Amino acid sequence: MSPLLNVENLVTWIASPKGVISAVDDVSFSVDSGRTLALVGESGSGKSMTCLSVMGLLPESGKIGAGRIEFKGENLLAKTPREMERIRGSQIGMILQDPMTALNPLFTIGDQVAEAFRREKLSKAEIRDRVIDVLRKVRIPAPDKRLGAYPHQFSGGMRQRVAIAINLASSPRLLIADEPTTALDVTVQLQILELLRQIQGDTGMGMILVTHDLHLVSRFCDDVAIMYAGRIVEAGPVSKVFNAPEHPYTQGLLDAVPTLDQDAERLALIPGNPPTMHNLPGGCRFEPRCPVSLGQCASEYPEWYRLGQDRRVACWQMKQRIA
Amino acid sequence: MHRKAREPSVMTRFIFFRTQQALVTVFLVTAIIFVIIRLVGDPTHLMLPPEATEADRALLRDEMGLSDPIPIQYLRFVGDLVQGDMGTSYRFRRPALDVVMERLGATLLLTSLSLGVGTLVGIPLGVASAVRRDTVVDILAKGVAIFGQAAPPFLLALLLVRLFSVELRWLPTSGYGSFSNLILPALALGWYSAAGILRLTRSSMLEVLGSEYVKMARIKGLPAHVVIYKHALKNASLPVLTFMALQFGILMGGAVAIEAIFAWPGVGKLILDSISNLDYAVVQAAVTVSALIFVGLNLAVDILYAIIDPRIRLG
Repeated sequence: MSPLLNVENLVTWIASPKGVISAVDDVSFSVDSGRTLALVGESGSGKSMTCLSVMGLLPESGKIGAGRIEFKGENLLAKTPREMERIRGSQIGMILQDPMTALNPLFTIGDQVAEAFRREKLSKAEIRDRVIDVLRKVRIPAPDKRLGAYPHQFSGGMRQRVAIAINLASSPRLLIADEPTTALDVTVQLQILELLRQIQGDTGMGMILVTHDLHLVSRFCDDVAIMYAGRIVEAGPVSKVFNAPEHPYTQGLLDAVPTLDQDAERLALIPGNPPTMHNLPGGCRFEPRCPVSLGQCASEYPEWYRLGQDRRVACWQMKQRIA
Repeated sequence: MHRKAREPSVMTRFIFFRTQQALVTVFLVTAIIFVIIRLVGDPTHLMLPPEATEADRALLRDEMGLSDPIPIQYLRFVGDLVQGDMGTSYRFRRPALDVVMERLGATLLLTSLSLGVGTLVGIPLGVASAVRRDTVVDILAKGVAIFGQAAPPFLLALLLVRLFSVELRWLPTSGYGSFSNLILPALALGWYSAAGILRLTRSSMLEVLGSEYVKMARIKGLPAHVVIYKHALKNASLPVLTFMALQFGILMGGAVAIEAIFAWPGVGKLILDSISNLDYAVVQAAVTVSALIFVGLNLAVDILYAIIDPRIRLG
């Protein structure tokens, strides 16, 4: 069975005043129906640009340089803008990071949800019923009374529910959630993610969850891809990657997560900072910060090493380990 | 239900509050012009023959109420004003308000047509140049804007007269009464208006097009024209609306020069003539009426703003 979404060797360029950078560089992953992939990485590691590439919504300065994006076996990069509009409106949805700015302040909630039904030829009354129905699904209380309300009358959590409702309207097969809870309170975070998981259980949609919160990854995701400076450095099922991280960056990330039974006074941290995208190291991008760097790391980007069926790591250390 | 019952009262209070503010502004404007015109000179010098004695002038000043302290004079002016009396023009020997109202139509026709030209050119070009940033459309639009803002309306007027009246002989050089008389002055002033509206629409659209809710609208799969004209333009139009109301005042000022060039019988020309003749009543009446129009228009925009933006209406 071919995966729902298959991204292969994606390269996305962003033009900036300082020159063109590869915000996404040779990124490959796939998402199956009913499963959730976590894209994990620091700010600027290319997570959001990867998602916008899939949506066909790169900013004007962005351009896909190479690679393939296949959705249900079809190449999205060959679609016209109008075909992509149709696919976004019916097949692939996306939830944005900040619910406070994601809804248009000048239109009612009802109107903004109703727009998502515009492709279906329905009467006004039918659309109203569908809007109420989908708002109920995201557990907005008394939805029939809230249709005339404006976004500023809703809390952040409620607005994110509305954003989810807008996406659910078209029963998407794939939902991309770009840090959907980063801007929300912790308790609301869990409610929103539980809601998404329950919807996924009902509809069998595939999900990509972009986050830098490793707790959320272990709790809500099936697979994980760790990104660093535009590249994926390690990917595989969450349980396997988190139990036995192979890439030094993944190990560093997991060591930096605080736990309750930890005695250490200070959290472990990865020394140094991520490289600027304008001035990337010639070899492995993590090499300048890597505690176990080898001679060739500084000059050659590591190959992929496969561990079993479903895990891969891009690190020269694996050469000796596997050989 | 609860919300529906409360909404009008919020709106009514909003309008009441803004109207109060507007009236205060008008009174401040009248007070300032009242004092300034009295600093310019004494009209009795112009009204009486040069051989008149100082005693004759004092008598006339008493008669006109000009020998009282200025605050007393102003209170009398306000007292008359609220009854609709703005004094009598010594030059026209008629109520000053009548003199102004006769000329007001010509000025309002010119300024509103100019603003119309500005809006019809500025907004579509501004949207197009934001949506097609850095293309030929954008460069052309920038050219229109830069020329309109750099060249003062009177210079544009002279260039237009040169081209369309002198060289091509399509339109009259000046005059009042037919539509062909209106085209050149409205173009000269309208171009200036279009330049500002275009630039503000462009920058406002660029900001809105980069917003998250526009991204969300595209995620919904809405076609580009719905995203641009429904979601983006409605938000982008708010600052443009305010700007247009302010600009109407600027156009009324700019109309002074245009009226002089095209021999357009408007208020601008009347104010100029009345200042040089120290016709206090007409200057005061003209400024008061202009201030009322300007403030009234801004009030209307504030109310329109509240109708468009629910955060102001209910917040």
